[in-house]
Amino acid sequence: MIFNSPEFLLFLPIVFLLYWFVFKKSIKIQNFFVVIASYFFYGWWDWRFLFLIAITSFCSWASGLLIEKNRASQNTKKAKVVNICNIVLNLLILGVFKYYNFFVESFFDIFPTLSNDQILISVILPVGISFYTFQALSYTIDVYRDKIEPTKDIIAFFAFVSFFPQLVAGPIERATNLLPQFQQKRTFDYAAAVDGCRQMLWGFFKKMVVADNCAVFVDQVWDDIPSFSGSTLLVAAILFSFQIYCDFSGYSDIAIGCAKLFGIKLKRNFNNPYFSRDIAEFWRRWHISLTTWFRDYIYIPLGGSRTTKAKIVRNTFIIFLVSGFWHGANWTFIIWGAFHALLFLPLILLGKNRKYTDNIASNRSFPTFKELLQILLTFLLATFGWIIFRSDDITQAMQFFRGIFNISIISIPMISKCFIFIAIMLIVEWINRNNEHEFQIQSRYRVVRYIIYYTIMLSIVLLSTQQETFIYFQF
Amino acid sequence: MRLFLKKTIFFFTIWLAFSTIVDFFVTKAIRGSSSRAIRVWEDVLNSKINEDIIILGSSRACDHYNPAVFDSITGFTSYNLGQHGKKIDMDILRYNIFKKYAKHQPKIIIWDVHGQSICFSDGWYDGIFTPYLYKKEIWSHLDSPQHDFNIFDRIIPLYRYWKKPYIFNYAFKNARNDANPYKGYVGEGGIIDTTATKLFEANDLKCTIDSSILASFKNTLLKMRNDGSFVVLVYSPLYYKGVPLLIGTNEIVSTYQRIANETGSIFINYLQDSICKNERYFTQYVHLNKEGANVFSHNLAKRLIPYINQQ
Repeated sequence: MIFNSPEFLLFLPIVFLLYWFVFKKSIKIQNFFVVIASYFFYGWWDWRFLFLIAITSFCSWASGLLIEKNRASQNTKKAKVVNICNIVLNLLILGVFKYYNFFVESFFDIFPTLSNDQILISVILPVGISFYTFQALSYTIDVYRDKIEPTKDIIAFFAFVSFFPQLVAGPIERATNLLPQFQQKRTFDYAAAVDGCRQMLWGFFKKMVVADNCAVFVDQVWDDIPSFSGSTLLVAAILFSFQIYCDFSGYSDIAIGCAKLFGIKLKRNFNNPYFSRDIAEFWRRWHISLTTWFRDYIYIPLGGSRTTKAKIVRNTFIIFLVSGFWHGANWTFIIWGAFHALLFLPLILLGKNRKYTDNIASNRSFPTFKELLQILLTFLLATFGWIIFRSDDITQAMQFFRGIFNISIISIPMISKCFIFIAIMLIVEWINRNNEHEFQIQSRYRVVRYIIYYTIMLSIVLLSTQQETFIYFQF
Repeated sequence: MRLFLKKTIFFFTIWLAFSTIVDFFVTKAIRGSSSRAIRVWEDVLNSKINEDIIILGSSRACDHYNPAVFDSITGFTSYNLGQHGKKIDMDILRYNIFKKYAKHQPKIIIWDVHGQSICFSDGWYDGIFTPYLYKKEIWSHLDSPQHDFNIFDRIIPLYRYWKKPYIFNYAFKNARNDANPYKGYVGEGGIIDTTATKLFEANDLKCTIDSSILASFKNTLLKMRNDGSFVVLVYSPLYYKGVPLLIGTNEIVSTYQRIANETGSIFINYLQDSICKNERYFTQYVHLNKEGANVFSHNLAKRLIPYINQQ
C-alpha cells in the first residue's frame, strides 16, 4: 500500500481509531495491533515477502538476547560470533534479493567467456528491504556495543522493525530512539497529532504536486536525450534534483507525520538540503537517517576522520561507495557515490567539513550574496551527481553530460510549469527553515490556517498526475 | 482525543462543502471548454445530434471525416462522433450513450475501423466521461471494473479529478489546437515527416484479434441494422509506406469483410487507394491532414450516394 493511494485514505483512519479506542488498554495488545496493521500494509503490495521481514525481525531479536546472554556469562567471543552471524545473515538476504544479478552480470562482464545466462535469476526486489534490514541490524550492533539493553518483548521488537509509516522507505530508525517508545504507554498528544497532520499534508504536496509533475518532464527528456538541447537537458537535470528531493522528503514527512498520530516520534530525515553552503553540509541534511547510520556503523569504526590522511581518504571513499551501492545494484550508483566522495574529500582534508553546522541565515530573512552563490554552487554539484544517479547506465549518463556541454546550452530551453510549484515549495521551506519541519504554520488565525490547508489540498487534488510509486521504494 | 476528532470532523465538513462548490465550478469550466472532445459530448448529452449520418471511430475518425463535405455532396446532414481511444469497445460505449440521448436513429452510420480496432483491449480512454459521472445514464455504462472509475468517483466531490490530469488536457491544453469544431470536426494541420524513425508505437504494429470484442462488434452492427441504420465500415487511408509494417493486415481486412457480409453492412477498404500514396495528405503515418481529409471525405461521400439513394 502506498501513502498516495485511496486505500491508504481508508486504512489510516480505521487503524487510528482502532489503535486509540479498541486496543489502547494494554501496550502489548496495542503493539500487536501495530504489527498486524503494518504487515497488512506491507502485504497489500505482496504478502509473500512478509516472511522476509518476519525472519529479519526474529533473527535480530534472538541475536540480541543471545549476545546479552553470552556477555553475561563473560563469553564475549561468542557474543561477537552471534553478532557477526546476524549481520551476515541479514546481508545475505539483502544480497540475494538486491544484488545477486548485479554480481553475476559484473562477473561475466569481466570474464565474458564464462558467460552463462542460466545463472541469472528473476528476483523481485522486496520493497523497502534495505530500510528494514538496516534498522534491524542497528539493533543487534547496538546491543553488542552495549548501547541498548536487549528486549525480551518480541511483539514490541516486531513493531519496531515493521512500524508501517516508515517500513518501506524510512527514516531508518535506531532502536535507541524507537524501541523504547514501543515499550512504554503512549498517550495521545493533541498538538503532536495536529502537527503530524500538517506535516503529512506538506509531504503529500511535495510528492504529488512537485515531484510527480517534475517526473513527467524528466521522464520525457531522459527517454529521448538526443532530441533535446543542452539547455533543456540542464532544466531536466534541475527538475530531477527537485523531483528526487520532494519524492523522498515528501515520503519522510508523511511517515513522520503519520507516526505522530500514533504517539510515536520519528527522527528527522531531511533538513533543507538544497539550502546547504557546501557538500559536507548537504550530506548532514540529506537522508540523515542513512548518513548517520553509515557514520556510526562504518565510518567511525574505521577510524573516521581522526586518523592519518591516507586513512581519511580511504574511509571517505568507503562510506560514499557503500552509500552509493546501498541505493541499488547498478554502477551508476557507485559512480555517484565516488563523485560525492571526490567533492567531500577536499573539505575533510582541509578540516572544513564542519564549517557550516548552523542553519543558513538563522537570524536574518535572506541569505547574503556570498551564501546565495554557495547554495547555487552546491546545488549545481548535487545536480550533476543526480544526472549519474538518474541514468540507466554510465553510457546514458555520459550521453546526458555530452548533451548539456555543447553549443546548444546557449538556447532557449523548454520550460515546465513545475518551476511554479518548486518556487512555492522553496519559499515555504525557507520561511520554516528553523522549525522542526517545513510546514509549521504559525498563524494565530484559524481562518488563515484553514485557507492554506484547503489550498494545498485543492492543489493536490487538481494538480497531481498519475505517477504513483515513490523513487526510494526501489532501494 | 475528543477535541482532535471534533476538529477533524469540523475540518472535513468544511472541506466537503468547499470541494462540492469547487467541483461544481471545475465541472462547469470543463463542460464549457471549446475543445472538440468536450463539445462533441456536450452535443450528445444535450440531444443536439439528430443527423442523418453519424461517423464513429477513433482519433482517425476525428481527423479523417469532414461533415461539411458529406453534407454538401450527399444532401444528408452528418456529424463526426469520433473520439480518442483506438479499440472498438470504446466506440460501442460511445454509440450506446449517444443512442440514449439522440432523438432519431441515424440513417447511415459510418464506422471507421483499422488494424487495432478489434484487437485485445488494453485501456478504455474513458477519462472524457469524468465530468459526467453524476449522470445516471453515463454511470450505468461505466460502473464495471474494466473502467477507470469506482463508486468514490461518483459520490465524493472532486475525487474523480484526482490523478486524472487527462481530462484537464482534453478541456484546456488540447483546446488550443482543437477548438470550436464544426459538427464534431476540426482536422489537423501539417505535413508528414517521412524521415521520422519512429513510425508507429511498437504495440500498434501487431494485433491479436479479441474474440469477445469481435462478438460485441458484430452484435452492435446487427442492432444498428435492426434499429434502421445502414452501416458502412471504412478502413480509411494510411500512408502507404507504413502499411507493410503492420502485421496481419490481410487477416484483419478479410475479417471486416466477413463481418460486413454477415451483418448486412458494407466494407470499404482505402488501403490501396491513391490517397495513401500522396504524402501531402498526411500529418503522420496514420492520420490525414485537413487537405487529405477533404479529399478522402469527398471520395467517400460520392461512393455513398448510391446507398443514400436507397434510404
